[in-house]
Amino acid sequence: MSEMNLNHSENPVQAILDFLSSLESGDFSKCLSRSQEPNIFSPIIDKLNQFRKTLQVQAENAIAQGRYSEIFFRAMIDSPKEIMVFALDRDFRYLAFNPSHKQTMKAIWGFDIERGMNMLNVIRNESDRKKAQKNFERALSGDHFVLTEKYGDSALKRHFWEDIYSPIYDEEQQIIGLTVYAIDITERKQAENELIASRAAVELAKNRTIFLDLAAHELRNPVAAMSVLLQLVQKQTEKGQPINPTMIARLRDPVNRLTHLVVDLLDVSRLERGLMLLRPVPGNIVALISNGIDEFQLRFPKRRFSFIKPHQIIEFHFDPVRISQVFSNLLDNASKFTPDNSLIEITVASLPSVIRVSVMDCGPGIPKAQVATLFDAFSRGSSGAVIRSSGLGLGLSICRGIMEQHGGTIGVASEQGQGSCFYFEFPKKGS
Amino acid sequence: MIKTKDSTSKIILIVEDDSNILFALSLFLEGEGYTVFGAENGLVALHLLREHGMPHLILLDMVMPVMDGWAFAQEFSALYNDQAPIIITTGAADAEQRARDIGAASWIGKPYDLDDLLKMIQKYER
Repeated sequence: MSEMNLNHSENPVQAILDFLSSLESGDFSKCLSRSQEPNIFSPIIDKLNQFRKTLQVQAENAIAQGRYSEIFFRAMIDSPKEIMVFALDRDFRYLAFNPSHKQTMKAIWGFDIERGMNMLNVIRNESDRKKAQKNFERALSGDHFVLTEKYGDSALKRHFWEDIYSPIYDEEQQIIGLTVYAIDITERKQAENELIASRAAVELAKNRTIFLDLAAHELRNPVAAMSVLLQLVQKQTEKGQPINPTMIARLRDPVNRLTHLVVDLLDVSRLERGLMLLRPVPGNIVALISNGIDEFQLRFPKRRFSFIKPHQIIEFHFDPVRISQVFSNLLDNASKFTPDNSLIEITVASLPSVIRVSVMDCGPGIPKAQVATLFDAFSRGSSGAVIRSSGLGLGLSICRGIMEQHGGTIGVASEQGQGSCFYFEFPKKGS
Repeated sequence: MIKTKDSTSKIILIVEDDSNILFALSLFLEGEGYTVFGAENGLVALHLLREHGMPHLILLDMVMPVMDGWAFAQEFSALYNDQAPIIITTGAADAEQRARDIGAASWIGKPYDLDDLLKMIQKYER
């Protein structure tokens, strides 16, 4: 730096130039130290000196803060063992990760991850890898999102994670990678699952109580009818009157109802304990359905039954007694809920992978809320008066059990006010 | 609907959806000298009340389609100011509570003894 003479007031231009170059060098403190006596720049130099000191303090603070932020940042991402943090570049290579992530990857996949390593190469489970890649690509497309996911090793020691995915932007707002914060929520999830299970148990207990009430009511009515009829017969006999044959005939009805109830209860019990044994024989499903329709036409002469069937014989192994039971149950419901003179359409169709039997009615349909539990034995839906075969609402759950035993399914498509289409399906061999 | 007429006998209205119980009870009570009107639900019972006037007693089942025992009792109370005593016949565990709820004179659980029922009818009929 050139030596300055700040006293030469006779040349103010030179003085200003000297001053400016001292400012440029940043060493303006010398200006004051070297001057022996006050001059025209003294007040400015004093101000600048103060400013320099302030800047110096601020710079020291900034350095200290920077050091602290780094310490804080490290502590923040390192300490909680259940939180994993990592950052990847656009090619899924590690930019950074915390020790918790490193330990977890080692524990699950046996790899010591390093910066620059492609994370997807470390995940050895294919479906986990595909899932991870999909999420990374979503973050790289600019999406911030949170997912609850299950990841873990092939020995199925899987943990639940709450994963927060975010893209990383550079100064030009270009996405250069992504970060993932993964919080291990396994314990929370377990607690939630236990709560759900205990709620389900309470619900089941409640439903069983409702079912028992219903069963008691349904059993008591035929018993009460039999009791009254028999007491009357007894009284007539005691009085030496001839027995009214109508009363004896009327006994048949409650006895039949009781028999149905007991048979249904037995079926449910057998199905629940896996004791229902099928007797499958080769049979023609079209003939079985056709016979069933004929029977119902006699029982319900005011309903119109239409049968759409394939031309060929469809023959395979099934239990004809149980499948008749399933079909009768569906046709019985359809007949009860269809007004006089309206159509019930039965279809047997050979589809690419299944043989399907469907029963479509013009009844009132089933509210959406009840469809979900329609085939459950002890559900609230089945305890309602919507669809019953025995009065206990067990019919459809028995049908489901029978179809499952055949490797098939049963279902319904229904909308309130639009009628219902119940169907059951058998898988085709080899499909 | 089952209907028998006798100008001197007392009238019982049976509201019961089980046709066998309705049939046998009617036969029994007719044998005991009553005139019996039978209705398979509350709505039919209200119609019979309009047509034939007040009975001396009502035997009321609770769980029925179309209009159940509770709804009938409410209507009966509002329209006729409980002019006839009601005995409820029910298979429910909380029969006594049900009887109190609808202001019934008494209750009898299903299945019941016909002689017990007859005694109860004789006690409460007007």
